[in-house]
Amino acid sequence: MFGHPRSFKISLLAALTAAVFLLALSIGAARDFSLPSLFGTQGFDRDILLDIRLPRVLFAFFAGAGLALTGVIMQCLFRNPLAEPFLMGTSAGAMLFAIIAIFAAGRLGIHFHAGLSGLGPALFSFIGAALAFSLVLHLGRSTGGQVQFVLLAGIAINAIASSASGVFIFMANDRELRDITFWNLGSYGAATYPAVALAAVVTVAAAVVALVMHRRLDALLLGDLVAFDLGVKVKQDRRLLFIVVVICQGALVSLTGMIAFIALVAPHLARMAVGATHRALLPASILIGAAISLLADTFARKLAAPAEIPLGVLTGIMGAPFFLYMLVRHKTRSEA
Amino acid sequence: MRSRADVTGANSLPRDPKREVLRAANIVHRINAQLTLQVAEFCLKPGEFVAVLGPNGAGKTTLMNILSGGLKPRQGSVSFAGKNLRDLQAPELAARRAVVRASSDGLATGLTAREVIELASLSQRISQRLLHTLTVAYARALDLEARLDADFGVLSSGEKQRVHFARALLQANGREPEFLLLLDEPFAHLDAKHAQAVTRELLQLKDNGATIICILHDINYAAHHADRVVLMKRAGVVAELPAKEIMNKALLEQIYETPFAIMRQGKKTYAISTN
Repeated sequence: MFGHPRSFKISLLAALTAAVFLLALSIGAARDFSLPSLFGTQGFDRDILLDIRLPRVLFAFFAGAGLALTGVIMQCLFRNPLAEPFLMGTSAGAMLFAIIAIFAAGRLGIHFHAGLSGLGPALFSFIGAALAFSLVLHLGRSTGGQVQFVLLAGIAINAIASSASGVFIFMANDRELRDITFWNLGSYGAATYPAVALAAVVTVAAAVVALVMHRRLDALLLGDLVAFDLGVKVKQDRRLLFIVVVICQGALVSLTGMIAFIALVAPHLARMAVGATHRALLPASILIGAAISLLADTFARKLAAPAEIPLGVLTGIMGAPFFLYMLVRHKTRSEA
Repeated sequence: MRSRADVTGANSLPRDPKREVLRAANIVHRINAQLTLQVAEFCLKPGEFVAVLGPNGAGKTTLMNILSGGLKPRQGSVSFAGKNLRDLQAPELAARRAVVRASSDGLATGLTAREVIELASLSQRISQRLLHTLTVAYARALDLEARLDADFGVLSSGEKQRVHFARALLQANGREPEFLLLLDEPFAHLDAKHAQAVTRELLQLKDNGATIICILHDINYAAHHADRVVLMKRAGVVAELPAKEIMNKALLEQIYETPFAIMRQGKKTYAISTN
């Protein structure tokens, strides 16, 4: 009763995620390793493992963990279980700005390598994500700050950004189109050690802030006024959490492109497993997000090897039905 | 427990009469297009139980929101514990007052009743073990023990209200003498038995020195349990009087615009709406 089943479940999730991590490390396009041989590779195998596979798997781990984490915080801040970067316009904002960067670079004669690895689109998409997010917040607040207005504002910003992206896609040439599509579908192809470092830093920092604030996050679930009654500096804490989400999500989305649904699905699965209190929910979501991300990326790398299935497509195929299920369940619950 | 007799008449409390827990002055706040709350003066003395009565839309909840610090009035000031309410941060406030609001919206949080009650410790330094013991004790007193691990979102309105009341009690625990409890219709969803349980806890809290302000619709409850009654109507305070003097047919009919009868049953007097 006193958290023991919970800590047990979280340990179990940690073990599971570690297993998936090793699995992801051993399976790949070039060759598969058996588990024992993972730690004794030499020569070419070693190069594959350390220079290609390991950064990719680490990146998948941190990106999945970070996306899930920002999902938890967003769902708390908006007090809406459906809040996630896709619905809230963050992803669309990031995409629009990335497309503008790719498009502008194309006109200026610069070609971003593989669409993703260039710093340009990443930086631009970060700005786009932050802009879209703040705009949604601001609009939501000025229309009364109620949850449904914020969500509607998110949907509207989503539509605007997507349409604007459409204009650029319409005008793009073949090469730009390929870059844009690649970005749009999402991938961990950008996984180099510097990218891993960036993803790790933003994710770990966000996780630390959120974990320190876990009780205040619980209080915010009860609404701003009750949280205030309980002693939460609502304005200040909300602002801090928004900054954390914008930085973490912006950085990750800019590195990965559009990875659908991890931020939505992982927190929900975690909630089913350990409940809603953030002391348990945060670590569980981080672990589940990382595991989903690792699994999806392993499929993406292996299923059509040596080609890669766009990761965003895979997470979308897995995540969208779940999202629909959540919608139906949420509706029936609120009617009950 | 002190007898009811020596707590009548808020002004005769055996405490320093100059000390005030809370004082609001010259409050002006727009409630909606038609109504603007105007309260020239409102104060609470330590240890008194003040009931706020008045018809729907009289501005009771707005006044409560302002006094709790949750709503900044357009004009006027509130001083609480000797400081301007505006200068008090949420954590300092939570250590000195608890609020039970009329309705929490229906959004499912996923938190259990236990987790909601234990959030009272946000403003306290308290060991995990003590927190757990106290939570169970308050839950038992309010007949919530069997519901502690239920999802707060699926509880009935009455259960939710008692969970929030238990949370407020836990917030007040150990610091009652300086503590202020603000309650907005705490009995709205409660049956007679559970209302009694809440009353028992409320009077215990008052005995321990806490100050209580409570919005009520039950005139008899106010007359029997409160020290002082504040009558509100059309966004203003119409009258402040010792609780027993509320049993006045003319006054009640003027406030509520409906006929009343005053009846006597044993030592107690009851006001009944006779329509």
